[in-house]
Amino acid sequence: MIEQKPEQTIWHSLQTLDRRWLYLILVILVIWQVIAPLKTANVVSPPAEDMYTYLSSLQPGDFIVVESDWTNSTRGESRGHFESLMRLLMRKKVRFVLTSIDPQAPQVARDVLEMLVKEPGNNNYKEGQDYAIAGYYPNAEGHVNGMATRLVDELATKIGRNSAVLTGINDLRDAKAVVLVTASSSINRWYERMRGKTKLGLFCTAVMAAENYPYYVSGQLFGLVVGAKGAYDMETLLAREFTDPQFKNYGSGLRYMSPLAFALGLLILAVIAGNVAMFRVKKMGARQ
Amino acid sequence: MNSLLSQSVFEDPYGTLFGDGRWQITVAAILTIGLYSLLYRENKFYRLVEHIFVGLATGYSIYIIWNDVFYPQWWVPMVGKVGPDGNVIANSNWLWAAVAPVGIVGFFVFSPKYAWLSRIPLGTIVGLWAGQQFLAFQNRFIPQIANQAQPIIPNEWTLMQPGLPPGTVTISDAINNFIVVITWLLVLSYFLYSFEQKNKTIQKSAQLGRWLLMVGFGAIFGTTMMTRFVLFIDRATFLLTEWLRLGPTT
Amino acid sequence: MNITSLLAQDQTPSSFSLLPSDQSKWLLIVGTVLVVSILLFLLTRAPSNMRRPVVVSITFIAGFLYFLEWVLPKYRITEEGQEVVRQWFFGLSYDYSETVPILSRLSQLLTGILLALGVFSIFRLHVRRLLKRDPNWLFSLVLLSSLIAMAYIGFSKFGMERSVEYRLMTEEQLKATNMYAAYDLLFDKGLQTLDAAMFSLIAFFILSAAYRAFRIRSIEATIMMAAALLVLLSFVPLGIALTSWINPDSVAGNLRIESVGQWILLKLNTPALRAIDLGLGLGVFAMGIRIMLGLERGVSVD
Repeated sequence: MIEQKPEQTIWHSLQTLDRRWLYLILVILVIWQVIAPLKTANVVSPPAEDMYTYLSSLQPGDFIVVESDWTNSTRGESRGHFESLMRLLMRKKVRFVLTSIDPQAPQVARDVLEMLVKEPGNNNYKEGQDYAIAGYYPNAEGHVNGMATRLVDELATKIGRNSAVLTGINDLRDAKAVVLVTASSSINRWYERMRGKTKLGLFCTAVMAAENYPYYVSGQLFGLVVGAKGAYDMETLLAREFTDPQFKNYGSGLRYMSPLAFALGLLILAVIAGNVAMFRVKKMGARQ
Repeated sequence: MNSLLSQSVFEDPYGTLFGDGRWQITVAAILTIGLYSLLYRENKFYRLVEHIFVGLATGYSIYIIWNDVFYPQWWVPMVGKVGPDGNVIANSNWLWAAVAPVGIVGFFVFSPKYAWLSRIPLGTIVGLWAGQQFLAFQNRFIPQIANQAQPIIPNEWTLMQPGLPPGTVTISDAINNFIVVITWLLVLSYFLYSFEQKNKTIQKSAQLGRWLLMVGFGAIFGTTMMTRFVLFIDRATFLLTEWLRLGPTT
Repeated sequence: MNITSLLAQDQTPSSFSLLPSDQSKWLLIVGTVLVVSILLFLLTRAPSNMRRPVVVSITFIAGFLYFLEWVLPKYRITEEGQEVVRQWFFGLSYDYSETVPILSRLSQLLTGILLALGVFSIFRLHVRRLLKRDPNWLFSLVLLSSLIAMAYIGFSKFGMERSVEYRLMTEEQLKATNMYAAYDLLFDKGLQTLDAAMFSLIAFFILSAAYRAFRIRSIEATIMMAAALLVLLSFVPLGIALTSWINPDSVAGNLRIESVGQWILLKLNTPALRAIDLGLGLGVFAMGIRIMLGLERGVSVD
């Protein structure tokens, strides 16, 4: 007797689809959208607007601490964050010191800064004068505690006690803000150790958005910029304030919005297709 | 908008560094494709590139630990430093030399007989971490708990509208605050693991807490997807725009 | 008088610090290394039941130093016309917070050594594979060569940055050097490119996982999917465009995708994750106390 084969419908094949087809669709969609992106208007999210408004209100000569903990592993999101933050600080002539708890992050930041200082409008920022790079600190807990307790002593071995960037700065209280551009949970060290000495702002990858919203709500963060959309928000706000056509306001935030929307569309369709296929196959099984 | 897109960050920053700079980008592109070959199936090219990656990352760690940690934070404070014009930048605090032997016993972890000595540096770090937890908990969680105490009774019986003075709790504020307070309590009740829950009310509230927790997890899932896709879009842009020079560049 | 700040005196010479030109520093440095090494050697001779108390007390003392910083009362006094912070500590009155950067530096150095330990163990593993002619020895050779190349170029850069010629070079001259080109090739084109590519691969795996596993089988899964969808859409302008026809200032404006997404994050996600966070925080806090008291397994107890 010939064994009766179960009926193979499109729903069955959808359920056992080779994952590589899915990969191929994603690749094609992204290639298409990178080459010919769609126009999209932006609605700036309130936490990002809070970040921009405060940083934009800083006066020339003000000092802030920037902890840059991203490398190219999250370049798609963090680079847009870092660039927009740096553009804003440079145009406002705010002094800053860069520290990091990731070994590769200082060099990555240095490479980006090297390009940004040459852009029109960015006031020819010079290392050692307008900004300083204190580099890598492997022990995050110890470092942040040192920064919060005695900022100058903590930075002295790296950038020197008499650095022009630190003129008039004795304590973290003298800094107008601490801003993190991060792809890890390094912000937690600051929640835990800052003792309300200054304001804390966060640029984080979208993955970390949900866990950091509670700190924005409680006021422990003055602003929160999230993912590629956050980068686009910052770029939108930069473009609103700096209208000189020579200034470069937009970057990867704008670039990635359209491909991202299509990729997410694919995800939604894939999940729907998977579920519909499951229900159809179940129904057929029940009928037999 | 299209003119904005043409104003790109990808103006081949590398081109200015060494003449053309094309072959370096080609190297980077080949390495990227090597890693992506995994998507088709496991293969030798992928493994080769993977080993290059681990090798480079480890090699860079050696350099950066010396350049950013041991040299500025240990060697210079220990032996002192004189500036180019003969001025003293740092004095010699020779006592820092004591850290060297303490650190080196960390390497005894590979010796079966003396492995316990490696716990001295480890214990120091862990102890330093533990000592900070008092301050850490206070700073991080007290404001969080305090922020949960929110007014759930309106003092202005209107719906939300702009222009109200600060401190006004409208009906919609009160509803929102109630949701925030009750969600927190329900989710907390879900975490009462320490003893078996026989109380019907707690069982029900834990069930509701579970559902509300799923909203949080849904948000995390959604945002995770976004990050992952953007990282791929970034690489696709690198390959297409920086390497092949397709799409809007300059 | 502050005992710990003796180590921090990088500018004012005192009985514990010497001028950099004073060559007797080498004698003191070698002497310190010898004394500490002898102490550690004596520890190896100590009976084995002494080991645990030694490690536990070191851990406790290390933690106690930060505990004091937290617990000692601070007060402001006027000293030589300047307002300064003082903390009382065993009858001495000084600013105890001066200790913190020293502790930070100590933890940076010890963490650095532990990182070096990780590097060393990777190195050891692959040298062994190479010597034993393991079937994958060629990969180990590739790994070791790229490791050595990167470290070598790194140290050449370190050396160059401290040379006299370096200070006289312009940025353009610097970038024309072979050393700089090699560093850029290995770090930016090699390491950073691979870093980016490696982590972007996850996009594909997570897409196929969502396709295969994300099934609406329970209320939990349905809630999770609905929340994920709304948050997703609120983070892309094309998603926002779906409801952009609703007047944002009307009551219905609350139903625009970006408002709903923000509402979920602010009003539901925030308290839910806060509750998880608080639980985790309490756990970490308890672990900190257990470590300090030598009760935590794996630190001082096996």
